[in-house]
Amino acid sequence: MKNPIYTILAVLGIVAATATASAQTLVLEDFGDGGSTSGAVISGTSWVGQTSLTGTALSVGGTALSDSGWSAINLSLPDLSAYSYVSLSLQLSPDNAATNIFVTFDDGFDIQTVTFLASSFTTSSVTTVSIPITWSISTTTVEAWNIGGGATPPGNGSPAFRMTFDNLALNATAPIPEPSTYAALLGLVALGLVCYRRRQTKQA
Amino acid sequence: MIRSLIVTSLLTAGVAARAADVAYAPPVGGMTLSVPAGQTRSFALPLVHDSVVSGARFGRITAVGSNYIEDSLAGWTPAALSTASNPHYVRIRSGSAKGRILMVSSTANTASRIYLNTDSVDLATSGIAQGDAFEVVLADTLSTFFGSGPLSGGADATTADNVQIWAGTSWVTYYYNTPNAKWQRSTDTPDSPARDNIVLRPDRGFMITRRGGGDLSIRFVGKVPDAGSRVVHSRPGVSFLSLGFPRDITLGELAFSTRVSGWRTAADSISATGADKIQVWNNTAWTIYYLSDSGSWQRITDNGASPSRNSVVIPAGRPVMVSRVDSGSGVATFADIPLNYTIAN
Repeated sequence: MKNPIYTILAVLGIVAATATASAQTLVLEDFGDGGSTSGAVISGTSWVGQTSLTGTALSVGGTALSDSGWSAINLSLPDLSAYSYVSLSLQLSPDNAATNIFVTFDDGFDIQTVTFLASSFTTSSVTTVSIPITWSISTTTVEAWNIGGGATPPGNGSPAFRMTFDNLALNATAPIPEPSTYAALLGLVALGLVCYRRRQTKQA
Repeated sequence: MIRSLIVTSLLTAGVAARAADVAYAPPVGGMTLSVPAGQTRSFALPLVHDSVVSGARFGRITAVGSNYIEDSLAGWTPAALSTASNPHYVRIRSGSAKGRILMVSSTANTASRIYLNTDSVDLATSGIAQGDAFEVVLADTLSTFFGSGPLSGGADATTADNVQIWAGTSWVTYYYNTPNAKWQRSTDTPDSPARDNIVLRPDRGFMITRRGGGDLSIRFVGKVPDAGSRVVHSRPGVSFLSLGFPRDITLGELAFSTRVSGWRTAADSISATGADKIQVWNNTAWTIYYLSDSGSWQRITDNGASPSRNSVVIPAGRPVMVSRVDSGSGVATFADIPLNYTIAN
């Protein structure tokens, strides 16, 4: 390695930029991490009595259909114009038949819906999918959101909705690397330092 | 229920009865919203009001942008069309986007430019073009249409009459909060902003639940539409659509599957969960229809021996819930719904 210090600086720059990007994430709902949620089951939907909070996630099962059964209302959110991506983390259940997951934002007068394809997620693990959003509603007065299959409540004639939600967030930029990637970056920094020290020792 | 349309043609007063001197005005009609006490009904508002602002109500588009149209000769009062208390919409009257309805946005209009809510479909790429004719129409709001009566207000949504508007994936319930003297959502607090200016879009339906205080009857008048509708609906998704005209129509005549692209059919009711659907509110519940592979409309509860439901009547002014399963092009798409009557000139 010709001058590993430049490599180290480059890696540190990447890490710093990544850390900065992580500050531009707004978690709308973590479905129970820390013991509370911002949302609740919507009455009159097929999700009533068919959901369970596991402490870190929301499982939708039983006889739930593809109407939208979870919402958060009367929110005091910051200006959302800085956020360009909607990120949804979930794991499908093997018996899920829903083809779409809708996230709808409400500014009090108009609504905007983001559509996630169920096929973007898997049954084997929690997957995060991010979709860009160009805001058409007022970003300073968003007061509610809901999530689900979008059918008319209580979902008669709609497919079974079976999945576990882990996280709903807004991101300013394309989503940041997973924590495992941080470890890889830091490992690279450590390797660079080791190489630099060995070179210094040899020169001495 | 909504009674049949009463159409009256008006002639310009004081004109001699010679063909060259006779002027015709659009027919004016009246409709009645009726909700028995304790029940829920679905409605749309297909009659058209006049604009109340100065400047051109009819014009020709001289320029189109991604979210605006211009008419260099319009002479509108700046910002007058974009106020929340006096919402307007634009109806395109010619060209390939004829029938399209676009709400005027909150961005202040100028003397020659109106900014529009595009329903996520860029105007310049959706068929609206220079030279197209358009009209500017006053829209109804909760306040202007219902005011503080004849719906019964109350302290909360469980005691007051409700107006429900479909918000894409769920219902939003409004009621007149009598103590607070304003329209509110069922989830609002006293400090929440007034919802008086919530628009009752002409291309969408809504539901009214009458709690008590006797049967509800609301009479309203307006111009009879003289052109079909080009309605934006979500795909995938569920949209509560006005058919755009005040006359009964059957499912077969509506032929909704032919008004859109990519309508998904099903072989039978078992596989209908994967089909596109039309839902009609029949006083106490939704009746859900799908189009069979053989080309006839069926209920999702029908078995293989059931007759065709093509002759099911959708009463005048009753909206339909349209459910599209797949994404198609991935953006909101159009349904071109023609009038099922003609207006004699």
